[in-house]
Amino acid sequence: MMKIATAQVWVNDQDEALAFYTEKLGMEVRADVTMAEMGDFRWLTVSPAGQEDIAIVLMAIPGAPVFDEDTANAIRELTAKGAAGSVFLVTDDVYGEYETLKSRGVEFVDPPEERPYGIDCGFRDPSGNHFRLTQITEL
Amino acid sequence: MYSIATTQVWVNDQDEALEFYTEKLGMRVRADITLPELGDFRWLTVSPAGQPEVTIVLMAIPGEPVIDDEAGKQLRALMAKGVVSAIFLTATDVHATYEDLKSRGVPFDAPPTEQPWGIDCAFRDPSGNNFRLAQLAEVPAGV
Repeated sequence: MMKIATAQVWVNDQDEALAFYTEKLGMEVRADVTMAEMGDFRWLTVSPAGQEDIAIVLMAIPGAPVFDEDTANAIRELTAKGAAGSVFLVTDDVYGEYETLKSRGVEFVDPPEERPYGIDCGFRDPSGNHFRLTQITEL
Repeated sequence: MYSIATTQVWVNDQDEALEFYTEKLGMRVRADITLPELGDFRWLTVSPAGQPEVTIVLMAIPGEPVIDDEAGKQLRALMAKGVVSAIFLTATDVHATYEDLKSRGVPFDAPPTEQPWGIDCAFRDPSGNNFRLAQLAEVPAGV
């Protein structure tokens, strides 16, 4: 059998991302491993306290020879637009969590609002990645 | 506190993706909801049996005004190259899972090989999304 282990976001700067995900979002570092045998590739993952079986990979956008310049630029542009993909976070108390994260400096693009699927707000990380924080309504 | 609920892949065709993820990868449908109030937006999620709390969102690429045409084109080009992002799946027995998925028609590049992080193989979904299937090595303390 298999399990989903990761969700990935592309980041412009892994140290900037690490500070944001740990200090502002309050996540914990699950792995921070630099592999000398792979050109100093840095595998950096974080996840919320109490959720150790899945992690968000904070992946640096590689240069040549892995990605050519056009590819790397296209990824940076899409990420900056928030169009590279979204990650949904769920909570039992969206208003409380919104206030906590806001007080730590997370900039929300949408405040909590009633939607067909629940009460939902959105923020972006420093590279532009789009997150929704949702208190799901039972359908 | 909050928890991670989803990881997302963009797909060219949700029905094609649904068939691949359920029939070939053997995942379960966790949600398949069309919302008329959101322009018939279809929220389609799947995940492995035994892991209902985290799902993969099979997301159709929206047009304007959500994603402009240029971004849509860029996305499709990156998907076709397999570089939009990668999702890691873990298996307790990667060789057995590899044989099982391969027999159902999942297109692997190569059989599982030893890597610094474990035994690992890779495949792509019909839209080009890149997946790694790994049996993780125990990382020694202090590494």
